[in-house]
Amino acid sequence: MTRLKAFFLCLLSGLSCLFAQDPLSAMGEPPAKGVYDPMGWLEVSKKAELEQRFVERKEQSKAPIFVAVLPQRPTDGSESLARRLGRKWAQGETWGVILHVVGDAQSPWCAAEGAERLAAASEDEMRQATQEAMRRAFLQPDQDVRVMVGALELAVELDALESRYRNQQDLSGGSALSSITGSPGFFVQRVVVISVILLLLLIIVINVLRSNREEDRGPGYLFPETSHRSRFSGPWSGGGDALVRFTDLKPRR
Amino acid sequence: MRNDPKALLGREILNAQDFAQSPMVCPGCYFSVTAPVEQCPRCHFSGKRLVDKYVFDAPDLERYVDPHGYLPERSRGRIDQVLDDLESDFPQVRISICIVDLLAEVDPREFGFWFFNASKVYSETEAQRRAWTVLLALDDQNARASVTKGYGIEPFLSDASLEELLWNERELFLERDYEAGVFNFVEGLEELLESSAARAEKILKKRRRFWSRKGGRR
Repeated sequence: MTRLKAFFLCLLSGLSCLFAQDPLSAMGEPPAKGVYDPMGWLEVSKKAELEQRFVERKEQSKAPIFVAVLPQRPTDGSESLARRLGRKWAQGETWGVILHVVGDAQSPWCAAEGAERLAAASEDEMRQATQEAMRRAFLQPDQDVRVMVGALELAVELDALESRYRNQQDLSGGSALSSITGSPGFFVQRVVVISVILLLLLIIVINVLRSNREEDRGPGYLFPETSHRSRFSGPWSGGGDALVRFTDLKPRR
Repeated sequence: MRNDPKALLGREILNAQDFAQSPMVCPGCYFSVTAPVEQCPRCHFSGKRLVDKYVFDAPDLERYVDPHGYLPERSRGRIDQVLDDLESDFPQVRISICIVDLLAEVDPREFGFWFFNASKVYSETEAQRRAWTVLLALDDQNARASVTKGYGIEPFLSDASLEELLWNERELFLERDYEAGVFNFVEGLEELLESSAARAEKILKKRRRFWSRKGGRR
């Protein structure tokens, strides 16, 4: 009987694991102001300050930072979830995520990734950025302050990377532009657009020329009416003296 | 060179001699006459005598008179394009292309005169157009060609310039490439009409200036 109970318990726990909701799907859309804290773990004033900083930063930076506060540690690991969250919420941008698990002494965790335009920034540089942000965060004794400092420091690190990347591109004489415009897709798109414009211009020019020609043709020229030099009893023509023998070696006249 | 057809409505009939570029030549003996005559003072040639000579009826003067089919439909289609262009630029003018086999002793100029005048005129429109018709007669049998023109267009086309047009295409005609030969001839004729129109306008301008100085009629 005990064995049977144990079996059912195992089966139940297994099923519960199988049907457990993925925390990522539960978190849905990216938080509008960058802070996901459904339990209100962060103090209202701190949350407001953080959100204010994110909003201000949004106008200057393309790399969004998110803070997520969870009630318990996710099954697939906090850092992994932070990475998945960032990819989901940032949608191709360079991003950073600070993930905090309430009551977990090891919190917060940090993850960051560069967008395509930051491909020049190596993984090492990204790792260094997150490590530096966490190092400074863990200097703080309080977890809520750690989260705030971690998020702000990560923002500073990512902005520095973005800025350094931009400077490098400027110094290399617009290769950033060429890296974007030089992609085959962009090139084809540009060629197609230019071709369509040229084709339209050509059609317009041809139509204008044709209409001018037709206008030039107009109703046609009418010769003046003259008296008929009627002769040899011919009612319509008096004949003519235009004759050529094709076998002749030279013209008659 | 274009003018407004409406402006020409009801215009006075001008003297053909003011525009004429060629002398009047007898189609029978090629003697030049200085004034219109009923019959040639030298050989007594006249249309009436010619009707007696050609005992059969003349066919209708259409765009193509080609009883032996020297110009197939495909060739006619190509020639039609230049003919339509010409007739659109010069709405009075009509071109007729006749390819026949003549006897060696029949002169194409005489044949042209007979065909032009003997061909029946069935309507008023045809009567108006006949005087502005240019007939290109090609004699396939004897490798000859001539051009006959109606009284309306006659003062504006000289025999010499028409003969030059024919001469330019002699190689094509000799090879019986009638499509290319006729095509080029019509193109050349259009250029000739352009220059004739310019010349006619110059003469008209001079006349207007003359009459405005006199203060009388135009």
